[in-house]
Amino acid sequence: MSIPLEDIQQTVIYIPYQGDEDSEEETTEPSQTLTLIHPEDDLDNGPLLRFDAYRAAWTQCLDRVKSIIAELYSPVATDIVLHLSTAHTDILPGLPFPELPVITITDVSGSSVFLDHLTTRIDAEAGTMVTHLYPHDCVNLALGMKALISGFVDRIDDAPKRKPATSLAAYDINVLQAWFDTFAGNSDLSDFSFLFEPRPNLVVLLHDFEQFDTSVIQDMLYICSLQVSTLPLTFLLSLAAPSPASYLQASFSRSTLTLIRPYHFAVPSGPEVLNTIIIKTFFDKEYHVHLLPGPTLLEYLEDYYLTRNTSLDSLITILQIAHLKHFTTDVFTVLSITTPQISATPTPTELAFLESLLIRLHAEQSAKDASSQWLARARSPDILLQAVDAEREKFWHSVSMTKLGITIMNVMLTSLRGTSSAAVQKGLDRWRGAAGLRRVLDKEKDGVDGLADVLRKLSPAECDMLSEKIEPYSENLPEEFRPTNPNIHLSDRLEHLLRDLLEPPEKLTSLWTVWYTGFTPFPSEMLNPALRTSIISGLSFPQSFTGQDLPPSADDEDILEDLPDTSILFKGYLKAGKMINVYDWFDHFRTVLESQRARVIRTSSLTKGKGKAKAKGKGKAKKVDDDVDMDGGDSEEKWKLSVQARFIRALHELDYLGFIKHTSRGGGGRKGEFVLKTVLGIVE
Amino acid sequence: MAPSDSDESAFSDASERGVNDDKRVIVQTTFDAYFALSAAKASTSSNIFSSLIQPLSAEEYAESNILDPPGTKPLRSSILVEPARSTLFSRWLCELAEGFNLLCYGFGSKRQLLNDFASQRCSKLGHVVVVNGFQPDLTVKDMFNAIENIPGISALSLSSTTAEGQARRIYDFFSQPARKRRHLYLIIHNIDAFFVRTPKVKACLSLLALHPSIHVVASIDHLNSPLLWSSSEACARKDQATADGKTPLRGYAWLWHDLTTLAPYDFELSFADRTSITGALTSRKQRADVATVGAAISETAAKHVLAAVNDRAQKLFNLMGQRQLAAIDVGDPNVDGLREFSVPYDVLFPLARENFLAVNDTAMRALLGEFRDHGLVLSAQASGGEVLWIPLRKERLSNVLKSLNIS
Repeated sequence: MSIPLEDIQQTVIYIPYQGDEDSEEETTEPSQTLTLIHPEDDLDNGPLLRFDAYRAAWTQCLDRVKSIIAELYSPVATDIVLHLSTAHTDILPGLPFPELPVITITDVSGSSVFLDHLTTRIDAEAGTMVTHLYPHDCVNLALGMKALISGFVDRIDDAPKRKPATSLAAYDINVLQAWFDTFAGNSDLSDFSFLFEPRPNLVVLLHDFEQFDTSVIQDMLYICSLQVSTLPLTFLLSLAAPSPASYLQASFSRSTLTLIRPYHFAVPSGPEVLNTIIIKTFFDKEYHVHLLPGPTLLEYLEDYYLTRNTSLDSLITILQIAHLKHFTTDVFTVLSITTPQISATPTPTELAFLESLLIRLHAEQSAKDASSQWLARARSPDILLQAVDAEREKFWHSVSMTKLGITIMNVMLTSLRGTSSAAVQKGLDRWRGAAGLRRVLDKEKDGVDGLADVLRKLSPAECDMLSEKIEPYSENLPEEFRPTNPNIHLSDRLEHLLRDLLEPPEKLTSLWTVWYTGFTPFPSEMLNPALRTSIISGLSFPQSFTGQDLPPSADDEDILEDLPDTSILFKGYLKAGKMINVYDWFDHFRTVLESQRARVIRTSSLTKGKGKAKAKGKGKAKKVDDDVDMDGGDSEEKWKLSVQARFIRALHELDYLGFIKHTSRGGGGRKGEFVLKTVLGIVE
Repeated sequence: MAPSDSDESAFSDASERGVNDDKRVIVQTTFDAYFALSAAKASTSSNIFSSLIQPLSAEEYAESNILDPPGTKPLRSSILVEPARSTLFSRWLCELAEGFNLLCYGFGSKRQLLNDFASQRCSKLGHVVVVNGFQPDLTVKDMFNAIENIPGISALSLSSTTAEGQARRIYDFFSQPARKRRHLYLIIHNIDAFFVRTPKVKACLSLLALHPSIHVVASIDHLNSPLLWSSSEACARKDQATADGKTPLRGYAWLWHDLTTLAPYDFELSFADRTSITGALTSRKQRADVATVGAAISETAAKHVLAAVNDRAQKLFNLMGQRQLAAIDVGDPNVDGLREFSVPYDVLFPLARENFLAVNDTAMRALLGEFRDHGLVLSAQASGGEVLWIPLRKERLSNVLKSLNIS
């Protein structure tokens, strides 16, 4: 069947599945997915094995992160659920009229992770039903009420069919009231009674509350508050505003605010959450992950989380992309978790893999040191692979010491928080949080140097307290890390201990890249792209995207003539001021095209004139040039038209990309003959 | 008005001043540039494009040989060449399978590459729906109707016939636990086009985009298109397990890819009005001011109009045309706008009377009225009174006049 992909009239094209009809199992075939750019040393089934390794490593990491998040969120979620269950029973006595319970949830990150967690909890509670409302559902009151009501009523499929002629309007709150009375009040309908034990609760969750139209919400709150004594509605508002009370005050009138009884809950967020997640996931002594983040990744995580987007969604995404990138860039990540079996008679690809593995293992050893080992490993794949197993064990053993060091460091930092002087706090700040971890892991950036100087400022009482806290950890230390001289001051002892424990992972084994991301940069453009820069450099320097070297002739004019039409026009755009006269722009464009054309004629006549004397050729070129110009009106007219067409085409492309704002053709003085630039101040 | 030597100066002045500014300010930001340029007097010339250059008719645009002009080498981006291309496709499939949606940006039309991805790779794995976002006639219903071509969807009951109801049904279809479904790959060209900007469409799309079995690959071209999504929408993640009855998440889970193809946007712009400089985003149908700016009329259209009028009117047209041709022949060859060769009404009327075409002003205006209604004769108020001209280029006009067979 032909697919009309090139048909301009088609708005949407459906391409049916063209794979094997018999295969019951769908899903993406992962075997081809982790293809390397330079797969010379890869095993035959390398991509598949690496994909398995990635899956295992990432699933483990994700599970851990999720459980930490659940742990962080569950106190708030529990509070909210508890509050929901008592919202309509625990009423202040003596109120002049019943108030509508409203719960605000402040989540600065604005991500869906918390709401997802919360709704899962609420759904699990018996006797509570949630309807979700989004800003686009409530563009006006009728639609908003309809969405609210149908959110509850449509849940039960067996409900009697409404007849439009004899029923209330779909946006009438009495529909909900009638539905509620029928199902909640009627114990005969045993199918549904389980939903309403002991006292039913109807919860309306408003997502992105700031985006709702306040006048619509005001009316909805009024309508619902009229029925609240018989209809147990509770509103949950999800906000990103840091102070929900003042947001409500500012957006709603007093008469609306008297109708509601607000309760405010805040979701944990900020640097503390980030630090907890990172330390508990990667540097928890009890938990083993398969990939350790390096200083560059930690720095990026912290920077992105604190300055760009405080959302846990993006935090998880960054970790996942880091995993994905790690397992696609290095052939040896196949050894990350297990070592593949290779027979004693390896195939050529296996041989290539083993060879480069051998080179990697002995990268930092001189031939003399390692000659006997090298010979043994070179002789048998088994010995080589056993060496890999040993390296893996060694790496993770050393990392467990690093983790211990970080745990001690954290115990120290938390126990000193708030107790010691400002100078000490300030001194210790550089090791706090993810940034601190980065500093600790990066020996180039001093590691823990200077810790002793800071700790020396502690009072004796604080020193005692600190050594007490650290005592249980020092007892578990292996022999080589125990302090040799117990008389040294605590500060020096701690600095020595931490420096010994926090050996940078890249020094541990020559295969460290398999388990540690080290200093590889994070592909930040996948989450935070430089869209403008990309488009502008695509227009200004198109050749650099072709992967070919620029021709040696570096004359500016020559380069300009080589460019595509849109780029030529864009050069004129860059040179102009705030506003461009379309005619002048066209004239500039025409001049460049004229010289481009002249050059073509020159070169073509030069090639024609080859074989003759050079001087003659040149003379002839000029003549040909003249000939073409004098060729009569017809071709000249065609050329003029084509220049204009090319101008319009290039202009429309720039317009399409959003570089141009047209001036008004109506009353303004510019009459559309000028265009405004939307991008200013680009230095070429 | 003839273009003078000062035309170029507007460009060179601005560029020189820009260079000087750069020297004074160490790093010039966009804000600096904006204020510097706003403070300076705008140094544009008073040339008027529409009066100096006759607009192209659609036929003229189509005839002009622009797709492969001599002397230019078409550039081909390195990502379009194997093996980079298939590596890219494999990487995309992997990222899609890992629960991300892809958003491609960068200069150049991405249509061909994404279509190749759709037909060569995605169709081997599941159902594919390609949405041409740049098509002005596209509606959200078109998209859902195409998705409903997938066998089995229309068997489910439809709660409401609105787009939201359809989106909901598609979501439910892919959530059915009965047996594993083939995935849906939704390729959306130009997701930044008008059609996706409305809140309603965004709501439907954000529901589908976060379904684990629906994968979206979209392209954007406009500079400001990242503003379409809030940061929480853009980075929302897919939940791999969709339990029945669980509240669906909304968002996009975008991963961004730089896809600078350097390819021309001809297909995307095929609905653009090439007769106007503002035509890139408005289709010809929507433009109401065609007559006032003097859109070019095609040769055939002119012949049709002339065939329908009486002899006198034809003769009047011939008279005007001959005058205009004579004016063009002696005029400045650099000027393209036909208004420069117009004939004043006060000159034309005595001529017409001499030739027994119109005896009085009313008859003359009646003759001209037919031409004006069809855009065959345009008029404007000049300093010496009303001027009239025919919006046809020299050779086209002479062709038309020849076909009239008036001696």
